[in-house]
Amino acid sequence: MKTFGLVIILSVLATPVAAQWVSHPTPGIPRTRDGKPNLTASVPKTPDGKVDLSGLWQRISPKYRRNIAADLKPEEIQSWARTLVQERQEDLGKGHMSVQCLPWGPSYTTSERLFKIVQTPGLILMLDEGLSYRQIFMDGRPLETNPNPSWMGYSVGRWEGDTLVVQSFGFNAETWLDSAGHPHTEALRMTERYRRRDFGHMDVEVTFEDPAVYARPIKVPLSAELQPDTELIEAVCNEGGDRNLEHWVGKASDEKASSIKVAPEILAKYAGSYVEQDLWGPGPHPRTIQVTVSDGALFAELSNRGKVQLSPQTNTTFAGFFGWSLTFVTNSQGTATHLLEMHISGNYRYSKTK
Amino acid sequence: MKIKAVVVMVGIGLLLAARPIVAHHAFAAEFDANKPIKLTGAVTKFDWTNPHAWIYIDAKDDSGKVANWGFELAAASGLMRSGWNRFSLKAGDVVTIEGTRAKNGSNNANAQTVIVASTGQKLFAGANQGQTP
Repeated sequence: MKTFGLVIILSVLATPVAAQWVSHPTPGIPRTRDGKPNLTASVPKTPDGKVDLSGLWQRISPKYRRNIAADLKPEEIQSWARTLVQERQEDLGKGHMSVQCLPWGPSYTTSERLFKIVQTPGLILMLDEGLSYRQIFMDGRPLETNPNPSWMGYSVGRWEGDTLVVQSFGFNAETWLDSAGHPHTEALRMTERYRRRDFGHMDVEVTFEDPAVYARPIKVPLSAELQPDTELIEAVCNEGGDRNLEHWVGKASDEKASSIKVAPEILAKYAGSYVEQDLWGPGPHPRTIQVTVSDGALFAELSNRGKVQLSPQTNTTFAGFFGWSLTFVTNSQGTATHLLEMHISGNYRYSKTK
Repeated sequence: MKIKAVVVMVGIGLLLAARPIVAHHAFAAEFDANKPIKLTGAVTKFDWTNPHAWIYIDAKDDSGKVANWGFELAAASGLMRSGWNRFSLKAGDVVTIEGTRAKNGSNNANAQTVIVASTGQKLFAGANQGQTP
């Protein structure tokens, strides 16, 4: 009886994962003695002696994917562009390609999207779960001088030693360069440099040049980590139709309008360092939130992302944290023991460490 | 005893397979953190879609009136990486869902927790929803 029940439970729970290649072992990769992928093994080469960048990669780009102009001074950005960013942030990013279900364009390279590189001698492909692709031509052809503007642009690449250098041009002006809403024009030129450091790690540097908007080239460093033993999972953004956007009524200023005053003694008991317990996102982990009080207001700084002023909605719930809300959970003395980062998919807990 | 231990081990394995997914929907654009809601009812529809899966239930409000409510989850592809699938919930299953209400006043909320009423099992936990703008 017991054995029969065991078999039923195992087969019911095991089937969903096995059916999707979600955890299918990648063939032919170096492994340690216990069978785990060896991510520090040496860089693989193709038969013609080039570095092989093929594989499923997760980009890690916490700072610049939010704000491509993080290192620029305001006067280095055209004022119309700065105004546009403010409007887009007031709309909480409703016009972003990921919300409108459009291809990402140039900021694809500085995003945190999972992507698959397929490398052949004359062509390198980048494949996306949303069914976008990029072709990087390695056959020596020059970039089009008068291209028809397109979403994913036109790209040519070459090897500089072990670094892949890609030049792109011919983007339409429909996309944002980050989630804050920094724009670009059709004159944008993009250069990418990919260097695979070891089997599991790649350094990336993307440079954007668009003098019509930005006074100097913007250099974006980021990295990518190999994701072995799993696969791309198709995710078609607009298969749900308009259902998600019909609820999108909030503006960033709503929260300031509905904010209340919270007594300083209460705020003081929230100050401290919080460390994430429920992991989400590509990392680096663990993410931390530093909460401070200044001039009667509560501020929160998310690791690698910057500091924002929070907007109290109740004595325990605060809005204005990068589009999320934070709820503080306290003990009987009113001192916070942890906080909840409120996402659409649920609440992610951070424990207070000090 | 043996059966329980195996179930727990397989469950942990599913959670460790979790991977991030990127969907840029701001919580604050759709939901009001000040309006918590908790409803129990039978599933009428389970939409296994991207960028968000949706659960619809028929639930009684405080006055006893039955209405259909929609609850927004993480992306189907993200839920898949955490080991869930389109059969994880079926029409007729009775669930208790906690969340916060839609800002536009409609019968919608996000799904913070989804619990099977008869077993207490927590569904869709461990799905990593990606970053917002």
